[in-house]
Amino acid sequence: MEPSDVTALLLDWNEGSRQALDSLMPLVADELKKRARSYFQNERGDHTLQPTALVNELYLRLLDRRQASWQSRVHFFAFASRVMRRILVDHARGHQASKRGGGAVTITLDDSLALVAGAQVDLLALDQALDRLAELDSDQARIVELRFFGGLSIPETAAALEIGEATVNRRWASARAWLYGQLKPLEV
Amino acid sequence: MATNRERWHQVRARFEELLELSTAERAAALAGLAEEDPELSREVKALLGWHVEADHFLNEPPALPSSLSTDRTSADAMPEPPLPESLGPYRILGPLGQGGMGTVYRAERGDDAYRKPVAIKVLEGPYRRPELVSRFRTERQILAQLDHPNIATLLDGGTTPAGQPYLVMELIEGIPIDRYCDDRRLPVEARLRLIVKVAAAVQYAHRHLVVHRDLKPANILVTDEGEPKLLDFGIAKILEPSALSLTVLATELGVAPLTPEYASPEQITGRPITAGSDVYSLGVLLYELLTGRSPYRGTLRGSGLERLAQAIVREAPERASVAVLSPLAPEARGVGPEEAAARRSSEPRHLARRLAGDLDTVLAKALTKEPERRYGSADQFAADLEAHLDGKPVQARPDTFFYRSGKFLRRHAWASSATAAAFLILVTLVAVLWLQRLQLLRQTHRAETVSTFLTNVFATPDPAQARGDALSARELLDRGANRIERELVREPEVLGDLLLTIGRSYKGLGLYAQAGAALDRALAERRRAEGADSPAVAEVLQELAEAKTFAGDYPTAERHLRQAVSIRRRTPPLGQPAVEALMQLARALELKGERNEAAELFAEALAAARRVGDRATIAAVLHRTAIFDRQDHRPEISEQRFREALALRRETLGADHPDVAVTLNDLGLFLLEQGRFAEAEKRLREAEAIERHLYGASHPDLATTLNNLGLLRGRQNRPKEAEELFQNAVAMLQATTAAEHPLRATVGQNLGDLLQNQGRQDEAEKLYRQALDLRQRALPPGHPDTAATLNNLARLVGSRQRWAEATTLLQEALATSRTALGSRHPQVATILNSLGELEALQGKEHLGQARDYYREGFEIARTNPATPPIDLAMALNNLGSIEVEIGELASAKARFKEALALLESTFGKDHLNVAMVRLSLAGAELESGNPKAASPAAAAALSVLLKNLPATDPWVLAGHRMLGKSLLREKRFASAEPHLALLVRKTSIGSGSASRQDLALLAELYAAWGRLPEASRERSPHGPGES
Repeated sequence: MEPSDVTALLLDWNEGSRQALDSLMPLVADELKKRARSYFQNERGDHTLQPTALVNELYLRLLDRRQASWQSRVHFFAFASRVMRRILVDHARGHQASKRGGGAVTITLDDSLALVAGAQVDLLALDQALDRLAELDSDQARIVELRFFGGLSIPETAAALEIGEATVNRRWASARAWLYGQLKPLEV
Repeated sequence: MATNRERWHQVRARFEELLELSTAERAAALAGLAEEDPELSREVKALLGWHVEADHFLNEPPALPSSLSTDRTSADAMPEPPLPESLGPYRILGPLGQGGMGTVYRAERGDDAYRKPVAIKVLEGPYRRPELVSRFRTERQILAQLDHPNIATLLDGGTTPAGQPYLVMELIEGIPIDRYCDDRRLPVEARLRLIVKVAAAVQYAHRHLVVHRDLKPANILVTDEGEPKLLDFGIAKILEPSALSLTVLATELGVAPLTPEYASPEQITGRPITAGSDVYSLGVLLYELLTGRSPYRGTLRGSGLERLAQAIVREAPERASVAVLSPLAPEARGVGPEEAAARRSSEPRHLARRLAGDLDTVLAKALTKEPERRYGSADQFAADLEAHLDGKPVQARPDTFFYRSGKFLRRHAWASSATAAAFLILVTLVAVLWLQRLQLLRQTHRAETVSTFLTNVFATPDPAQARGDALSARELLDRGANRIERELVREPEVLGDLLLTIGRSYKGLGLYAQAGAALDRALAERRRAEGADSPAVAEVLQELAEAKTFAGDYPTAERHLRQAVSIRRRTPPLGQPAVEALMQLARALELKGERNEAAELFAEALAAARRVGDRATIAAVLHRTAIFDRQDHRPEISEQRFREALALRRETLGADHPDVAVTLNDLGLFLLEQGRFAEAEKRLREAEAIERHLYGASHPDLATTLNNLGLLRGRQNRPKEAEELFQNAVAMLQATTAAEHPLRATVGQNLGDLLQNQGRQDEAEKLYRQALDLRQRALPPGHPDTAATLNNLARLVGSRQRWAEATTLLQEALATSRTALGSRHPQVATILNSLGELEALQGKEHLGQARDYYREGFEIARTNPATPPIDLAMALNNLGSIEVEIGELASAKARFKEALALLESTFGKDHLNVAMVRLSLAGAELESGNPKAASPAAAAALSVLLKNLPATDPWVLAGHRMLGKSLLREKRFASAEPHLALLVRKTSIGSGSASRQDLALLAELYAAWGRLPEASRERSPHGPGES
């Protein structure tokens, strides 16, 4: 895939082309996985890879920077966050099926603990709760998608959605609390 | 919970409102809400509860699972790397986890009785390089000597058949110390005891010349028996310089193992790392275990590493006892007050009291930015904790430097010598970040180039690798700046970023010329890479303007800022950077005296800030605008803005925040300028109380407030108290600031003014000279602040009749101010007035020259809308007085009348300065032979003077003199007599003998009145005292 293709598709997507999204999604998802794989093989011994890093690299690789404007960067991140969500949720779904009953060892010796903490979120439940949140307020669902799956900071999120940072902060707080309430185990 | 949009938005709105409130206020608000809408109240309450509990929830992005690559949905899936069956004598039982350096397996010895399970760490990725194998062999021997019950023992090591080094360690079954403490709701004591054990283990390692360098909860597991175990001395550095150490490895690999949250300042900079670095990390750990949050406020995770770096180096941690009571910043890692206390089986107030005092002090010492001021060893740190547990006094003194240093650096970064280190840290951490990012780009040629470049430039100041001593920040930057373009010329984006970083660092070091050069290049690169109108270009322009401002190059700064503002305006939405740009330009124009445009920009900044909606930003703009407005004859607007800024800051930051104190202080100063002394004192005392509470006995901000209280006492004519306040401020600044700190010059100058007024000329001159010397050392040549100090010194020198010297000083001040600020700047007017006074003092033949200076100064003041009315009026008064002396009476009278009108419309008729100008006017009338007009003016003046000043004040006596003389000239002898007689009596009591002038007047009165005996008596040289 040529960088200029992606840029063009992305521009179409910005302008509301549903078809562009459909063509773009598999391209980006494939590329993402390919990238991820190469890390986990031998490029980096470090397995604490985070979505932001990957999305960043994707951006650099996929986009024709001569055409890409600042806005297209923001939109790309917004888009990639959505892709990331889909990939991770699909992945979690696959694993749930294959790993049922397997007692995972949780003792680790170093950084991977932080990783475990991040991964403890039930992605499937989160995905469903996010859909419900989108019905209540689609912007808030977008904020969560960008922040959590895209790894965007508050200012980046604000820029992507074209709203103020203070607003993002407040909306993020209530969305997070609400989602937490949806996902937390029922108290007996 | 809400199930439709409308309801959710209702709940959300209430939630957001309540989030801003304190716990107590929240409960009250909920109770109130329950009465009007119980269901809504319940839902909001639930949401708030979840908010508190949510803790880390979603704050960290999901890690990508490594099995993603083997996802079946992927077309060309790769099989997982096969598990080795055995390594050396160890049988592999299964994977344990993935870590920073490789995979960890659970294993056991397959050959003999030692059946205890072990953990084997196989180094992968960049750690796999064959030449490292022999180094690991050396390290292994040293690390294997560490035999301590709280350290996971290194048992063995070797090389896999594929050539990967591996380490065999004791397998620890436990959970990280922070989770252990929280899960069990351990109270403060139990947490302290755990840390004491950890510190003892660290000390043990230090004695074996091993520094851990990566202490963090994930590396300290606590077993079911409650024993902490330290893991992973994998990046430890061997202190012995001759040893081939792991440091080399770490730097060659680009500092990958760094864990910024727990790193010490020197660790990120690449300054030499010592045992003190571990003590710092222990301090961070203890802080988190005690408070449930990071010592760095608002620390971001994931993104915002640069902000974290700034925090580590520059931000003074909040006192633990204060932190546990304040709400957690929305993005901060950790838990809020209620939850934190609950996890310590306590409640917030109680926990705060528990931490106040000793523990605050111990943390302060452990978390000091400068390694040499920290605890000398982990042992000493542990000893203090144990002493505290035993109820004995701790060794650490409440060294407030810790609390003040961070903040000091934040506010006055450019004036502090310690800042050098601060900015270096940013450089290297940025390098680290780059490396981390660039490792992702390994395959491309660009990444290789940049990463090699950065490693070489920034990773060398390690003594083990460099030349025996650490490179200075300056050398490091120079080296980077020189090589950067040669080696990275094909990557304009990277080049731009790096040059910006280097420029900022130079600026931090106070090397403005170098900063300017680097930033100029950054500007060119960004323009090429991002387009001339991109926000990225504006960012550099703003940075560059600041460097130019510090360097005193105002015209260039202004040009850059205008460009930045125009870019920001063209790239909406106007966010915080735009507000920043507008304020910068407004300040530049204010400095230049172009107040109309500055006012518009301040207004635009304020509007933009309000649109952005961030209340901290709004408060900052309001505060700055208030300072500006106060010089615009709009005290009421200024006051209103101060009060709004104060309210906003209290609301968002709490009542006890440093920024609240700053606003109180500036509001106090404003009230002082308005002559509202009682209110001013109240505000200044409030500021003082907060500062004393926050910083203890000594801090630059506290010194500032004391200085202002000193000014207040001076204005209230209570010189003794004023002097004491200034002296306190001076002592405080000597203890807390760098020698070149501008505040020292300011306070010294104020004290000088006070002493000069008391006739203590020698002391005053010494203070002025010190202030001048300090300014000349701290500021670049030609800086207008230096000129201001020159002016004050010159006035003193002039009053001591060293005419030539004073003239030289003033001419220098005048030339400097004109060049730097333009010839119509108020400071130029002030210096012209000083020159006028100096000439006037030198006698009659200088009066013409004096008048010219005054006139020139006055014309500048008149055309400047910001000249305070009182200054303009007094300039008129001075000019008029000179004109009287050289006989230009008509012009003089017109000036006095104009001055009077100005003063009366501003202050009313009863103001002291009104009385002074009336006396001048009376004098002019008298000189023009018009005593009938003079008498009423003098009488009015005298009555005001008598109301405001003691009866023996020279001004009161001048009033009597003027009135007596006018009445005498009117031939109203009986009315004149009491004034003139009183004058002779009062002055003879005060000074031992009445002035010749007064005696002559009284004699003239009696002669004219025909009461000769009295006349002859008054004429006798010894006066009435002898009769």
